[in-house]
Amino acid sequence: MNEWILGIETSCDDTAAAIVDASGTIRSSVVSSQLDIHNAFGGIYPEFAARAHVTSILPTVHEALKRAGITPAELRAIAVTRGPGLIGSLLVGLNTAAALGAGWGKPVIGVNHLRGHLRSADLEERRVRYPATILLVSGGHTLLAYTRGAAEIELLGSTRDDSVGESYDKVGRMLGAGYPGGPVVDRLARAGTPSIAFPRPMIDKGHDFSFSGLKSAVARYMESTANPSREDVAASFVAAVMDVLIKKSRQALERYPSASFVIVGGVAASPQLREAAAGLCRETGVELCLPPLRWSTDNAAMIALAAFDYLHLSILKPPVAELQLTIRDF
Amino acid sequence: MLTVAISTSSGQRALVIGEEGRVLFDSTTVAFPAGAELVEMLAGGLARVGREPRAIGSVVVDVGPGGTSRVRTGVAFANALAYALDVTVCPVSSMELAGLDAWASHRLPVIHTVKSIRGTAYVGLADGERSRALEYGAVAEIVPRLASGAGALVVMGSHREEILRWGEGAGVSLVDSGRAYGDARFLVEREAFFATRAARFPGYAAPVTEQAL
Repeated sequence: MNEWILGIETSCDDTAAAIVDASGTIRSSVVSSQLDIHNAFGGIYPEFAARAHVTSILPTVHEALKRAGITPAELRAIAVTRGPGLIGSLLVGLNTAAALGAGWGKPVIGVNHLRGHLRSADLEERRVRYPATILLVSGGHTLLAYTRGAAEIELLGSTRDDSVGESYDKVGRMLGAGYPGGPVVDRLARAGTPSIAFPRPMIDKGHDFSFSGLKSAVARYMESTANPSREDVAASFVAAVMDVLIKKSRQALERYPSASFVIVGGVAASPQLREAAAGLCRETGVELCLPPLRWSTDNAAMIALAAFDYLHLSILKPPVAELQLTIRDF
Repeated sequence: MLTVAISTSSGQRALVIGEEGRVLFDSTTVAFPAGAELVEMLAGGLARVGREPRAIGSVVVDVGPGGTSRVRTGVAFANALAYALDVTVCPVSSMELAGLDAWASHRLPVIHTVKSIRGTAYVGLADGERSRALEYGAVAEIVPRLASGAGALVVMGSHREEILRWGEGAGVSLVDSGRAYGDARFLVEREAFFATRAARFPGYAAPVTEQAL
């Protein structure tokens, strides 16, 4: 039985391909970034993202196979993100994967992008100890989940409006930080004082999140204040975000016995979040599990690894776009 | 060897399989379930003609202009199929396809329009397999210029009624094709016309966009 899966990920603005085995060993991982295309717009421009995927996907797949040193005949399957994501971008990956599967005679599995993120923590080595509480924080998603095993997931709460990464990007734009705004906002926050009392939306209301009010509060402050300190605004915004994320995570850890607390998604790169989560885990005695930063953002290795769960459970989802998937869906 | 031709620029997705210019299978004549994927059409077509994927020797694809996501779907599939089988992929514009179709029916050049955003359109003039012009902008501005001196024309595409009305007023001889798009079967029947642009990976087909014009 061949043990390698080719993963393809095109749900947003990165074109990615990777070759991975069931243990999370990565034979190759290639990501073609579109940052230069979208930077001028201060955010992702969906039509241009889809156009760029068309031109970059085959070179990316080819490079992944070349670096892995394997032939298509050695693949067990092809795994491709089927949603959630930008429909135009998803369709490029899905149709590419379907055609590769037809040409090579390999099964093609449509993978839930969210399950890919959850499995990203086990790339390269087994890090997650179960049961685990998982915080997924990215540009497209913000949710808390509880998982008793790689395949058994319970959604505890998710954002009702903006994702936390989206809020970071929008506040970054207000502060003239370019795209993506997250790293710059974190850097500015380091130099500032959290002196502005921005709201902590829904902080005492269960495990759901809301960030649009916080983002609007930052916008109102920027509009109504002469010469606002970018550093202080960033520090105050980040402090509000961390308060919300950490308080809700603490509530989840207290309610759901966890061996590890896993943070995945692009915002897991935030130094402030990493520090705050480390403090939380010290207090609660739960092991903090942070995948390396390269696996926090969108990548195809996590899609390939998640596909092994599908194979294990004989859940062979076709490569057809589905935009409304939740964390519980395969 | 088989040729697989794919056209997704119009509302109707088509996958045609042929050999030496003869059509063996046309997905538009088969009752696939609504929303059938190209890969299902390919599998169904190969089963119908009793051949394996490795019998495919070339891929031809309609690269638009047309619905942007629809075109990308077909182009991504065509490129990957050609890559997987290590065969060539040949891009043909939807305007050229319209030209082939109009020539076959009327022995006349065609003026073809594809509606775009904010009142703009792609406007093409094609004569048989030759594309004479492809522009992006306002139909009312482009059509009179392209039609000037072209003689009698077939009209195909999204702005037929508007163009036919203009033709009456301007005294230009126009024939209504009654069609929005060219028939994908011509991609198989006239593949040889476009053979020089067929490419193997790292070459690939790219959708026609307003950026490229």
